[in-house]
Amino acid sequence: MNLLIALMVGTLFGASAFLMLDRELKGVCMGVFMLGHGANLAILAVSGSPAGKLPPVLSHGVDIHTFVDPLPQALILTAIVIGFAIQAFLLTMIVITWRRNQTLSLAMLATEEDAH
Amino acid sequence: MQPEHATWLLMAAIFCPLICGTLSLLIPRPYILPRLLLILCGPIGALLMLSHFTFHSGVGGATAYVEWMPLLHLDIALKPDHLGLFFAYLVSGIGVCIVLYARGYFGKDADSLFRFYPYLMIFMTALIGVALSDNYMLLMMFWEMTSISSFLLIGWDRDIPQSVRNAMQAFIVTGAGGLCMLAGLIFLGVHTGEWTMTGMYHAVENGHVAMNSTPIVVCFILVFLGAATKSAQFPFQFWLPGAMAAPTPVSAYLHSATMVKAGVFITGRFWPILAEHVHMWPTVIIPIGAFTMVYGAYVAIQKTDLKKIFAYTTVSQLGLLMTMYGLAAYKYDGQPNLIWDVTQILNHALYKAPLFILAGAIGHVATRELPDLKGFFYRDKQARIMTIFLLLAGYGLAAGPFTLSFSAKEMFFYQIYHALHETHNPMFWLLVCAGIATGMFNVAIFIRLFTTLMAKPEAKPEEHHHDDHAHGHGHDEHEHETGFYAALLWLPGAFIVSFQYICGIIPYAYDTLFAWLDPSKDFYDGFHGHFPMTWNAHLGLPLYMSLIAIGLGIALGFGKFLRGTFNDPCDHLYPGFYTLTTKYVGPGAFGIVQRGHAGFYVGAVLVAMVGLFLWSIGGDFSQLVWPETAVTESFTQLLPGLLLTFMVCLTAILLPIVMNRASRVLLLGMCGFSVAGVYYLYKAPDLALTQLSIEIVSLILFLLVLSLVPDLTPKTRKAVPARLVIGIAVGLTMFWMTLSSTGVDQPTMPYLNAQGQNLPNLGEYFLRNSHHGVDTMAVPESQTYGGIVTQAIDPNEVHANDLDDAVIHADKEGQKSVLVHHGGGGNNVVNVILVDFRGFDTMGEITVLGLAAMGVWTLLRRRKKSGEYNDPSDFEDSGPEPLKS
Repeated sequence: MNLLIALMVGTLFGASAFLMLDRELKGVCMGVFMLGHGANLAILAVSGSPAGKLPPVLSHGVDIHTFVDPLPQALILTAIVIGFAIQAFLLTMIVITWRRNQTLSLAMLATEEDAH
Repeated sequence: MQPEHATWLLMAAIFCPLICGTLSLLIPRPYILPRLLLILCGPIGALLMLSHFTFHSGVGGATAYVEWMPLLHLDIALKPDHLGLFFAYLVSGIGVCIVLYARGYFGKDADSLFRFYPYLMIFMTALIGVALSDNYMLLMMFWEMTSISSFLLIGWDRDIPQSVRNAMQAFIVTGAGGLCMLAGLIFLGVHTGEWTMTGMYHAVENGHVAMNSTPIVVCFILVFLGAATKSAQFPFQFWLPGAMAAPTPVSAYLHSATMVKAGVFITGRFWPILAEHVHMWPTVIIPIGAFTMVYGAYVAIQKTDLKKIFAYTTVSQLGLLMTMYGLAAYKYDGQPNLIWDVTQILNHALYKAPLFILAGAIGHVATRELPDLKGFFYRDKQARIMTIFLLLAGYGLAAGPFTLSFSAKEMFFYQIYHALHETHNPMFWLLVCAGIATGMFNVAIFIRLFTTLMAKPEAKPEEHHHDDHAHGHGHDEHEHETGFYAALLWLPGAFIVSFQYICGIIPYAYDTLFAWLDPSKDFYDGFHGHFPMTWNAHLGLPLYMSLIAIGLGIALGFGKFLRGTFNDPCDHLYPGFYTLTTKYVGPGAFGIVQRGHAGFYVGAVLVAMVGLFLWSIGGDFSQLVWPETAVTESFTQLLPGLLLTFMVCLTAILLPIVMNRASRVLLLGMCGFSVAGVYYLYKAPDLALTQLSIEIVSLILFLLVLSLVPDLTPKTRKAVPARLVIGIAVGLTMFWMTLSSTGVDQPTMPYLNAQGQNLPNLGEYFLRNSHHGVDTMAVPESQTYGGIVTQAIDPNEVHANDLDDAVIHADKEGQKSVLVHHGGGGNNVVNVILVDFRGFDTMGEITVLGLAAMGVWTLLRRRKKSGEYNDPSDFEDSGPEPLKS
């Protein structure tokens, strides 16, 4: 499982790096979202292989060592919610950028910035 | 007194001025008298609290210490010893006089007082804090606070560019020094493991620290740089005369008692630790100090502005004080060669504060230009009083006989003489000459002040120059007050300067008033522990030096030499530096770094990430060993994982390839749903649920945005190979780092389980503590109780680090007791972590969510009036997105 999650993290990061270097704002946005997924999975990977373990919900008579590590999960839960907030904000920025400049091309946005 | 009580009392003393200053903002502007009274509570309260501490614990009481963040070495460690208490007394004592003087200086200008007093109180708190802190980091915090508050005070006239420039100059010079000092102190702390001066002192005494090694010398140089910039040593002295752009109350405070002394104070704090062991101590400090001493006095005599003259004599005196601590590195009669060092500092404050106060007062009613003040004495009654006190303070500056100053200067000469006597180093004859020269200049300055102010007026001076009104108001609307408040212009100065004469003329007066604050009085027994009066001076080199200085000074004062004006060439240092950085270096670097293209920034970050990874493995790929933990499951166990991995990887790879934007959004959604599946596999039901709901919302959101923005995606791609290379490199790096992170042993936690072993990870701590407190009962040993493994422990053997928030119930004697966990009240550990252990964090998260929602609402709100947006699509009903958490 560790190998699989590492594969997923690698692919997500690679794809998001490619997307973030896009010259168009929506592509960059998608890259950022995928980066979020990749980072979350990378944190999750630290908790080790989940095979044979139980979700971290305590119940009677179970030794605590049979639960998976709850800490990465707690961190990721926060990260997902905050990531969503950023996602909403980024998408809004796209709409605003389009309304103001009638373009989403980063190169054109940069030249417009220079012109000012 | 309990040590903790002592700490809180000291903290109260430190923050008393700040609290009073802040509270004074609540008083409406026109009420001047209540404001003055409240502000006076600040320094007086600090004085009272400090005196309580002193009288009950004895001078040099133990270090007061409260843990704050011990892992970061951030503790509230305060050191109310002689030097610290003396400095705190000086700051708050002179502070009282300055508060009163400011009332006289600003008169009825309620707006200025409203703004001025809080700044002054920040300054005061910062300085008392510097004086009393023992912990390096605490010291640095207050140290930087002095820089910031002095910036606010020097830049008082916000409308005058020169004043703002001077404030920035002072801030940048002292701030840069502060950074050096911070680096030095951190280095010292890391190198020695001691983060308080007391600890450092003991470590040095017990020989735990190898002194005179390169790291210690580097620390010394860095700390001294901080002290030298703050105390305006050559070549950094230029900021101090510039600081007189501040209103005179600030100048008087800054020059006499406070900020500039901070550097001397730090040197004084460190000499018991470093002076004997670091051989560079005297060779660095003495030449710089001595040159500053002579140079300052040399420049001072060639200035005409009263405040400038006194500013440069301050530079000179600071050089003297530095030299004094430099000489302390030598021994005389088996004792450190340091005689009455605290007295030297006090002596300077006792004449410099009055000099500035009266210079400001004279500038207030006339002008500060010395040539225009000819015959000022004969102008009117007020002028006569001011002149008399100015000259009395000036006599102190000249170190004339029968002042405290005379004896103090005498003792400085003794130090030089002793160093000469002990080392037989002919270089000290240079220092003798420097001492004489400084004395000569000071005497000459006094003579010139005297002859100018007392000269018979030639003609009636035309009209009053009000060039010292720092209030920013026109001169005409300002009416001079009469009575007590007008007298406040000179009364505080007169009060302070009186000590010069009380201590200089009445035997034992100084012993009674101040000498108990001076630990170095016993180092030299030539005066039998009593403060020497002028007539107690022994015949010998020091006395001859004084006499020569006075004689030469009188000759120079009446003579024709050095009558011109001389501008310090160091004044160009800062403007030159400023131009260089803001005109050439800065824009050049900015142009290279800030390209303004998003792709450049993102690419730089990604390349740096990969580069750092390569650098950390040193380019040696053979280090990358395949971890054994990569695959531990059987194929059937892996099957769902394999399917999900295929889905995630497929969507991730397809996303950059597919061009149709609707398909891309759907692919993004698929990717998210697959990730939710991975969460499920990883036994994280909360994550899976959250991810699912959020993925749905964000999918809708993205589709909505697509409907608002037309499809302009270019059908061709640019720079694909480069992006591909970076993408693959980043992917491989992350793949490897994730894979190896699963195989590495995690650092264990400083919490112990029942067997006294460290917990393997923080997660176990949460698992153990999430359940609501298990009830106590006496049990023989560890057992499973209520689903939680509780720990049976002997209360006597509890480790200090054991489970911070646990409570031990000792029931009956001789019986072992159960450690009761006081955690959250739930079984779902992830939930408990979020809402209980990290509750504040979650609150911050909710705040972020709320802010994002508000931002979205504000940005998307239709602005009908402005007509700024010429968007083709209809936004009438597009409110904020539905946000769910």
